[in-house]
Amino acid sequence: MNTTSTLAPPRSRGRLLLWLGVVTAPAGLILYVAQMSAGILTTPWYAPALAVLGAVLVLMSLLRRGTVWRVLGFLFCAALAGFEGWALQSYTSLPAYTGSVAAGRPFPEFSASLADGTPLTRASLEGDKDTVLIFFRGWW
Amino acid sequence: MAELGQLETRHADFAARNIRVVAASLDNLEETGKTQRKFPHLTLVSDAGRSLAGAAEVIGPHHSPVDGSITAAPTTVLIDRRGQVRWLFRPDRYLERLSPDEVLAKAAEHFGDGR
Repeated sequence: MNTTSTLAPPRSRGRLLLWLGVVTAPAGLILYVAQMSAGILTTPWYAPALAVLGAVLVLMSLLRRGTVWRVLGFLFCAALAGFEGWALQSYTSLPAYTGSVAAGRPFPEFSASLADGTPLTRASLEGDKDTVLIFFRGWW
Repeated sequence: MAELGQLETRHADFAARNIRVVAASLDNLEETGKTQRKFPHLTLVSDAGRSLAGAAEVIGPHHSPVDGSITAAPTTVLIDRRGQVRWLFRPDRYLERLSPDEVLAKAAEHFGDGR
C-alpha cells in the first residue's frame, strides 16, 4: 500500500538545477563589472545569455518539482534576461555615421582648444605627423 | 575613459609611427585639463563650443546617461599630415571601441610606416 510520503516528490529533486540557475542568471552583471574594471570595451551580450541559461535551468528544476520558490526563481531569471537584453538593445545602439567626413576628403574647418587653452584648428592637424582623432563622451 | 587609458598605455607605439593621438570631447577647459593630466601623452581637446564635433557631424541624439546632456558619439578618424581624411570608424554600440592594436593596424594600413 502506498503512503502519501512515498507519492510526494523528494524535496531535493531538481534542487541543484535551481541553484545553478539562480547563480548563473545574475553572473553576467558581475562579469560586466569585472570587464569594465579590466577596461575591456565590448558589449556584454553574455549577460542576457547567462540570464536566459539561468532561466532555463530554473525552469528545468520547476518541471521536476513545482514550488512557489521555483516559480518565483524562474520569473526572476526570465525578467532579468528580458531586462538585460532590452537594455543592451535599446540603450547601447549607436546610429550609423551619416556626416560628410569621408576618406579622401579634407577634414572640415573647425576651432577648438587644447587643454592649456591653445587654439586648435584644422591647420593644426597638418605638419609632420599623422593624426588619430578620437571623439569620446567626456569626463563621466 | 578606458579607451583613453589604453591609448595612453600604448603612446610609444603611436609616437614610433609619427602619429599623434588627439582626443576630443565637449568638456570645458577645466574638465579637459583634468583629463589631460590623467593622460599626459595624448592631446586632449576641449570642444565646448562644439565647433569640431559639429564640423565632423558627430553630435546627435547621444545623450549622457548621467545628466542627459548632449555628447559626441564615439568616433575615430584617421587624418593624414596634409589634413586629408583617410578613414572613419563608428562602432555599432556605445560600449564598443577599437583597441589600440586595431587603431595601429588601421593606421599602418592608411598611413604606411609614418615616414
